[in-house]
Amino acid sequence: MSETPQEVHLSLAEFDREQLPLEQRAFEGDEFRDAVREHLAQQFATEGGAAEVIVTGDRIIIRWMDAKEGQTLTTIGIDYLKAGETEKGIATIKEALKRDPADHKAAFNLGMALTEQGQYQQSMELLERLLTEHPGHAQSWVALSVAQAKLNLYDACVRSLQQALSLDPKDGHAHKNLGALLASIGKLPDALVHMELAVTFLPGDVQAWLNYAKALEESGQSARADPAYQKVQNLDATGNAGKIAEEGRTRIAAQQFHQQGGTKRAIAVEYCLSALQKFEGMPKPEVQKIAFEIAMLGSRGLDLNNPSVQYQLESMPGKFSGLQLLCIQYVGFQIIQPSLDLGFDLSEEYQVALGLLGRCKD
Amino acid sequence: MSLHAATQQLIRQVEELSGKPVHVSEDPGLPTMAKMMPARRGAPAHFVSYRPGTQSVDYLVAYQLTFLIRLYSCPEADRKEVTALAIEQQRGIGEMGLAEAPPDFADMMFSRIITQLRSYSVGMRVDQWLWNQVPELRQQQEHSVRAQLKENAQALTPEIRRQFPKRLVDTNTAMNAAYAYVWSVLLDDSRFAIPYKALGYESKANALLATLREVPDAPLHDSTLIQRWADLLGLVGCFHFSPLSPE
Repeated sequence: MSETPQEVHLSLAEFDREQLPLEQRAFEGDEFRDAVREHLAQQFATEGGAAEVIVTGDRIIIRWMDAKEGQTLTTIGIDYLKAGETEKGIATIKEALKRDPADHKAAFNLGMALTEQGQYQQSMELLERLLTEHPGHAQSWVALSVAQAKLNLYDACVRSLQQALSLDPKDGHAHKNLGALLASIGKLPDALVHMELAVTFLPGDVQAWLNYAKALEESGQSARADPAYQKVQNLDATGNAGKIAEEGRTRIAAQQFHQQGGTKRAIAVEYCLSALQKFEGMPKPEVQKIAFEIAMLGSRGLDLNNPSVQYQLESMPGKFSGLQLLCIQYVGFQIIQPSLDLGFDLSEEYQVALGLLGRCKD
Repeated sequence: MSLHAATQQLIRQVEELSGKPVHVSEDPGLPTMAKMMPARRGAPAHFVSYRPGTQSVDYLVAYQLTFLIRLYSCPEADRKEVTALAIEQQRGIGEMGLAEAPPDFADMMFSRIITQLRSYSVGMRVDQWLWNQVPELRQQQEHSVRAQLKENAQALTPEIRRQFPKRLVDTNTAMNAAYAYVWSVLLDDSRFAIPYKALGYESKANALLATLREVPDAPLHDSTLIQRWADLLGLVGCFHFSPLSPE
């Protein structure tokens, strides 16, 4: 933040007790110190920016950030919000609005901050007032829609987002929110139109891609959903969205695998049988090592449909196709932790392989 | 160092009003950021000096020049300066609780408080005028004022206040509080005034600021303004106004 620190030390004994409410003026000790601290903190909060107030045995220490020249109160407040100091930001922007109720930048940012704080009703009322005076401010319509959605006012929310898009058809956030909202009420075809536009205008937005991928999958367009999930994995390799995308891709692969049936499933049986033979007599820690390495590899995505794509493991020599690795992993987990759901059901192939193994032994 | 066109314009204004040139120079030995000596007692020019390395030089020079403009805007008979006879000085030293202090220290403290009395009261007129009329220097003015506010706030530290008699401390703090209140408004940041309010200086600061509204703004009334502040600060009879020393 473009600020300079200020620090003032005052003698507690010199504090003017008349500043305190009547009932607190006779306080002594900790009670007095608490009253002084609360009073001064409140003064700063209402006078344009919060301060840290410390009251020691005999001294009051006040620290605050002094905005550099040319910064408005609204800018200071926004900087606080950006820095994650939401309470200070809200207090500062409220003060800016008190001084200039027509400051639409302040109103917009305060509305968003209130929503973040869970004060949806206040946020909605503030943004509605703002939009009465500035109906052409597209971003405020989007901000209003967020508060409305939190209050389960879906019809109003859709109207707000449509209003935002009529003002700015390239507003990616409006498309993203409207898409998510329409999907949540089962209007998938309409949702997909907005979701596709959202990822066009917000190509780096993980959530927009994840919404889009899920909606595509849900609408049965797995072939399009898979690359969308892959995009999520690329954008958020280690985060929760990446994990969800990985699960999505596994689901799609399993679905495609089962739909294809025939030769491919026979190959899977063969791979499972080969894995069972490989793991037979192998200590569990070694099995675990191999299974876990495949799981790690799989988190980056295995190509299950193209056998010419080959992978190598550190824990086991040789080159393997994606489907082969998946089968080895499945068999491995059946040995070390059979209750674990890998998200890719090979139970039928595994059972057939087990039967074949028994016959081989016979 | 070349001065801003707005500062040069003020120099020309002083020269026209006073009939004497203005000489601006650096002075590494200066204890303050800038200083002004009007042309008097045969001096060939008005001397404005500033400490090298000082930021906001144009504003600091302009501030001093505006004092001169106010002085020379008055008819010659009304151009007055603040001086103190020995008896007035002794009275002031007593009023400020410095009677028991070493004489040199007491003299220096008295001199400083009288300088602050003059420079803060009329200085607020000067600052307000510069703020409104010379926006080109506003950024420098704001920078300099913020530095001054910060420096003044440091004087609230208990260790510093304990070193001086309470009456002297109260007089100095009351003027600093008035300064903080004025700039809280101009800078749209009330926080500067809160520490002074916490120590109970708000009413005195407001009384000082009320005189700025009650006394007419014209330079001719500057001595009245200083006197009104002196009344409020317990400095009555500690100085007098004398005609600007003849050339």
